[in-house]
Amino acid sequence: MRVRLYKSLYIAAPWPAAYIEDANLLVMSDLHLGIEGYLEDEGIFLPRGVSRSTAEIVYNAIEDYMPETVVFNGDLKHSFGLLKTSEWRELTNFFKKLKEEYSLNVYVVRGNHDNYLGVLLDKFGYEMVDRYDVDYVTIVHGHKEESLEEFGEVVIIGHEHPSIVIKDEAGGKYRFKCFLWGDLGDKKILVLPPVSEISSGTSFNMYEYVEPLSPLLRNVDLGKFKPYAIVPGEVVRELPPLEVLKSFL
Amino acid sequence: MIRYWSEAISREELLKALDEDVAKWFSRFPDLTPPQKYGIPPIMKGFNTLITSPTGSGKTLTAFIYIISELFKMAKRGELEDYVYVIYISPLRSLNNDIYKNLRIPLDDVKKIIIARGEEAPDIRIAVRTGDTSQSERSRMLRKPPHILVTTPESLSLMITAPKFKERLRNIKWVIVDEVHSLCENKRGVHLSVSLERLREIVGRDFVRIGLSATIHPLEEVAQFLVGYNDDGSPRDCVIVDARFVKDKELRLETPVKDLIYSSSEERNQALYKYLKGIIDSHRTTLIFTNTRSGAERVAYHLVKYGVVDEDKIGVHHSSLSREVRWDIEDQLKKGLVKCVVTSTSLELGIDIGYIDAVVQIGSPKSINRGLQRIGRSGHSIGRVSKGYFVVLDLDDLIEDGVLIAEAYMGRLDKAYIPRNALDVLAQHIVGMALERRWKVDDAYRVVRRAYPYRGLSWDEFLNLLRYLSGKYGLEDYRVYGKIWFDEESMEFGRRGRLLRPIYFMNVGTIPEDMSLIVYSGRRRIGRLEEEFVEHLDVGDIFVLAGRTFRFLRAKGNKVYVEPADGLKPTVPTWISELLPLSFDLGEAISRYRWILYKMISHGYRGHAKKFVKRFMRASEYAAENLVRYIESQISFLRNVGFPSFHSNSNLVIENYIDYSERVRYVIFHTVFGRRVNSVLARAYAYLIRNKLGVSVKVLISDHSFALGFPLRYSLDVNEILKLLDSSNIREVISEAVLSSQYIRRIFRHVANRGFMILRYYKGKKTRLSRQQVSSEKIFEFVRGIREFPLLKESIREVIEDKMDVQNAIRVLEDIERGKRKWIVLRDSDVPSPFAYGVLLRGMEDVVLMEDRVKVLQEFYNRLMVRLGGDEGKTV
Repeated sequence: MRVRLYKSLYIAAPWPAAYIEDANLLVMSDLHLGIEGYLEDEGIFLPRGVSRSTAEIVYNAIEDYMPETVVFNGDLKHSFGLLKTSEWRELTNFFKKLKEEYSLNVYVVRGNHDNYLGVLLDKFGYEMVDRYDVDYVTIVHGHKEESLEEFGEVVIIGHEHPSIVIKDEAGGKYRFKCFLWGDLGDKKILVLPPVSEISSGTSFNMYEYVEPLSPLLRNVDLGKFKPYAIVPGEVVRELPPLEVLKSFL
Repeated sequence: MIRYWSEAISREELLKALDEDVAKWFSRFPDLTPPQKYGIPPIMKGFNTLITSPTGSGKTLTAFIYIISELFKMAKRGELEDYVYVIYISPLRSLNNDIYKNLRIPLDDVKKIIIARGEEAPDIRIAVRTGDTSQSERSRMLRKPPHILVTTPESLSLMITAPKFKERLRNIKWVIVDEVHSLCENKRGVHLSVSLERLREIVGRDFVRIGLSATIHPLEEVAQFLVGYNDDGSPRDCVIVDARFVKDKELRLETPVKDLIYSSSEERNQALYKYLKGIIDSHRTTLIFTNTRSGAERVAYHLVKYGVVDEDKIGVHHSSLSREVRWDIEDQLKKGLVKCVVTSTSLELGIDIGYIDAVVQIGSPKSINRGLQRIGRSGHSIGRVSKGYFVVLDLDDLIEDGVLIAEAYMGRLDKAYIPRNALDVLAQHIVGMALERRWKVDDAYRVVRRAYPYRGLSWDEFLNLLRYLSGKYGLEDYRVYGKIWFDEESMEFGRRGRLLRPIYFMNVGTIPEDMSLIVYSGRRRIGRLEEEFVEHLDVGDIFVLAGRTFRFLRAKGNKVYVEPADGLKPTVPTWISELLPLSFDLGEAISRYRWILYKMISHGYRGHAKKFVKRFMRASEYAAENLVRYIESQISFLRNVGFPSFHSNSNLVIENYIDYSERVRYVIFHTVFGRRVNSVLARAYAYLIRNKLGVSVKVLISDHSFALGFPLRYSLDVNEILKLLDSSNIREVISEAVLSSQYIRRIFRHVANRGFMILRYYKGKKTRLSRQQVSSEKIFEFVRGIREFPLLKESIREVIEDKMDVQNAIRVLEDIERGKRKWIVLRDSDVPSPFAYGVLLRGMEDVVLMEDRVKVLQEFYNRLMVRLGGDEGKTV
């Protein structure tokens, strides 16, 4: 199932995750757990279960790949501020399961939404880091300017929520979340799709017109990036580079 | 019981019955108008009364004269207290202001009469209360409530929820609902019907309901809508006063060019404006109706450009313009300062717009009622002739208008449709009721079901809605987002949380708000786009705005940035949701007339056919010639593909057109049932074809037909697909099909707003989905899995029952099953028939999407591989 990208780095198909075989480590980004509680405060009342289905994807990926370590690459929770009751409960259940059922090492790379998460992580003995380095790979959320020099050969980021829109022959539009894989200077970069099913993101069909959210993607040749479209739990499909793809979309 | 009233009152009898001072004032009118003659007696007897008569026929005084007289009598007896006795409700704020002014006259004059007699005159207070009413005015109303309160449905629903003001409503004796015809057909009316029942609870007894309506059919049903039911389920009584009198009308059908097919758009336009010039020059004030807002702008622009009217003598009036601009135009119309006003639909209703001696309808008004309503805006008083000029540039519009005119002269009307069991509107009322007090579920259910639109609401649906509002959807251990508490043990519910009142007050109402964003190309302002439309755009998408193509770059706050993309094909279809659908009844009539003309022409009586068109459709020579030629060309097409007869009410012809250049097969169903019915049939068949072939199906829908397109490489036996749909499974099929369409995603957003799931205003600010990093599309995807979720059910209901017309679609299929109608499948043709041009060129587009996303990806990939001719990627 898995797709090799580089050395021992794989897309952990059919999940929105990356797998580093040598380290037996799984990386996932942008879970936005507790988003319902946050939206409620904004006047948007979702039926419950959005976060639950996000968590299910994580559990399934873990059961498929049986990693020793899981790195959550930013935006584990949705609100920017203090933890809300709903988030507290959602995250507690989540970590409890990771600890008790899977006895995993867990690291949380700080994203722009992850303030005030420390207390809760401490309870489980988990650590929050600004970036996570393993072998030749550097894992950062990607919302800040970073100096590339200290990075490994491969950088894995989240934050961007990339997607592509596919049109069928009848003109029907379908949006797929996707991985993006390409060059970042003399290094490689992998952009992970969000695990969260509900948060929207940037579509890269017309990459020339896209202003990426991540500063790391602003000076790269996006046209050469390859998208890997995903239907979580079902399939990951490698597609030609964006510059080739664009004439079909 | 609903019954008709036919006893007239004479002027003398009436004057005797009224309060002497009111009678003195009223005696200034030499005679009673028809609605007054027949409408006043039942009101005097205290009966619920529905009065139908044309605008400008003295309806307001019919409703009010007796009430004013009663108020003066009460005042003189010292019985008039500080309560509201009469509520007048109309859907239009501008109408409210008019009514206020019109009622001030008798109130002030009667007062003067009394004072002139040297007596102290009682003060009968009247006030307008709408969303525009200031806080201080409201407090004043609380201290000194008006005896006559003029308001809108939305403001009424707020008043009955306001703890203090509600007390002032305890003595309501009369409720007058104006423009019932326009209210009963949409969710605003549904909303009002429950408000009235809630008001009935506050008052504690029945009040007299008086409805005023323009022409509508069937009156019995509309009357029942007005009055509702009793607690025991028996219908409340109502008297119908049918005071429609024949207003003389003079209608004309015109095509400005001799040949609509072989003339250039340049020629057509020039001829159109020349024709309009003729009309405008020979009348004092001309009102021009187009069907769309953009159309109104365009016509006005050209009228000035071609020098037909001076710029300061013309006005545009439509709902996208600010209220000030509209009021200004209305004012100028009343004062007779403009020569011509162009409008889309906004001047169709209500207020007296002064002296208009000609109405021009460009294109088709799509229903007989609407056509008459519009034409009735001219000669707007008794004894004047309504003059209407129908001018068309399109062959399908030509036959529509022709048939409309013929039917109108025969006094036919379209049937009104009243929505039922709308769960989003009900959700608002349950919240409102919870704010008032604690309720037994039984009691609330009883109150709601007294309202006509909820007569058939099931107990289960009601409970389900309470569960949704109390936050019991999804995970049971979370109860955070409930707006109400609902105890299923004691079967009671009530309010929860301090925020509920502001939520209700800020978000009540049923009209979807068009949040519009300003579009910039560089620094230049191009126009406006609805937020909803923008939400569906992806960066790089190309769309049409103001007749030009633009590329979408980004949206920020309330601004949208684009760049010109001249000559590029749009990647997203323009929404034409504001286009009015053809009524089912008018569609059926069109089929009848088409058949009559076919018969005449095919028997060699071309000249008779033309005469027939001129005589019954009031057509000009050009119009008649175009129409007859249109039928002839279709006859010859049908002969060529071997069909010896013609389209009719019973012959439902299916055409197979193969577009070899696009390699697409179009199956075109010629069904003149209007878009509401065609939308049902089209999406249902598209869904069945999609399931059969495993491919997305393109859907094109018009009022006269619909077309389904799919790649030529798939073969399909149309007859086999026809067998898959019948009157018993269509509801299920269309519900599933709708869930896979792009259309429902838009409707869902409105329903989520109305059902208080996505609040438009919260904690004092406007909610914007885009700012929350979620899209309504994603939310829909999520909710879609919860089939019992009330707002999902409501979205489906609204789409298939209100926006579309599943009931008439079922009727059509039943007719086919009983052999009253039959499908006739034509053989393949590489050209479309003349009757098919309309739908192929201008049909409303939708796609019934594939459910299986893995397969979508696979198919896309396969196409990619064929085009790239290599093995660029692989499945994992």
